[in-house]
Amino acid sequence: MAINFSNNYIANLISAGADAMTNLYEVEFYPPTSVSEAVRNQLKIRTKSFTPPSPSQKKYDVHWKTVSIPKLAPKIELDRSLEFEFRIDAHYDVLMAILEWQSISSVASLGYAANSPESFGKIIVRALATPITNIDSEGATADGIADENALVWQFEDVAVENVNISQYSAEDANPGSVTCKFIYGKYIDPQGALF
Amino acid sequence: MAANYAIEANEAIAGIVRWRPALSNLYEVAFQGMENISVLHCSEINFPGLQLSFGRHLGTKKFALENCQLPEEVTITWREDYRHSVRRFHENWFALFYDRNNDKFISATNDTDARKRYKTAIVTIQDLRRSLYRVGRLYLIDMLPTKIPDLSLGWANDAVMEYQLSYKISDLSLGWANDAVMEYQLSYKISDWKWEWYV
Repeated sequence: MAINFSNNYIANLISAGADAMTNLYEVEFYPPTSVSEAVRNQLKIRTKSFTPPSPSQKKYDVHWKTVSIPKLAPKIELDRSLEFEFRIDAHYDVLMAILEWQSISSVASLGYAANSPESFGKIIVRALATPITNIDSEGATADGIADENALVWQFEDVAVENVNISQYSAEDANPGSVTCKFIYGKYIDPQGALF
Repeated sequence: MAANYAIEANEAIAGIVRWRPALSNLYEVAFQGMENISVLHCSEINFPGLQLSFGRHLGTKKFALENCQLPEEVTITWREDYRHSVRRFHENWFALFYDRNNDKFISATNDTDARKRYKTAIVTIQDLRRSLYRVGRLYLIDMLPTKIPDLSLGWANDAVMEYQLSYKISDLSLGWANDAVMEYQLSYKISDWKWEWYV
């Protein structure tokens, strides 16, 4: 009988299909419309990584004599910020595009800083949520991932907080990259899309 | 064997886990005449409760009611927006009482003008029983302003501008709307001083 149970588990594992893969995702950037159109199109590029938001609900303890019980407090703890690292091209077009986006809210060298909603753009991240079964499968090709086959994170009211260019060094020959921090307001994640 | 009145820890834990405390941050304030701003920018509201004072009677040595302190002032902390909407709202409100250019108090000549001086704030408090929409409502009726916000600017200050303002209220009412089937309302009028229950 034990063997039969084991066989059932193996069958379940096989029929569960392939695992989700961490490298099958795409990131799209939509700078605000005041950024020139040529620049906006240059920002649809693949980033090095994406860390989804990880909100947690705050807890508090209720004490009774010698024991204490954790309970959930009415407060959501979420750092509404994103960080992406880009490879930058030899013409620095990607870097200049992000700097143009940032210049709507701040230009440090000119002493300019504002919090205008005009600086808000949008970021959409899609992770492939279907197995790759053949060469024509979505995700196996260079085509974009469709929403119906993806987990989608959509961040709105996105502003550029910081642009950090990788260090220049005469002692190595690594490709240049830029790390960019964004803040966002409203967002929809796969959980929120359930409602 | 424990006595009947003793509660063991596991029983207490089960009871505490089911206990739902009142939560102080789940509220909104809609201010008559500026609902859009007040819902987003009343960051704190403080409302004193009713207070009774008792003293020992010299003859009987029992406690006797000496004084009843009715709540008559509510304090709201406002978060100012970039248009300075809170300040402008209060300046317009003050203009109904006092003509600063001519240094004159203004008397209302009719009921309509008189009513404009009074504002009502509705404090909506979520009670979190199965639904977001089960709420209690505290009506702060006929509020009168006592102060135009102070202005404080500073180069070293990057905090959001906030005002803490107090208002006189002439009346209040508190109602709990649980659902369509079971609804009761508790209110009392300061003017005629009695408790009224609506079942």
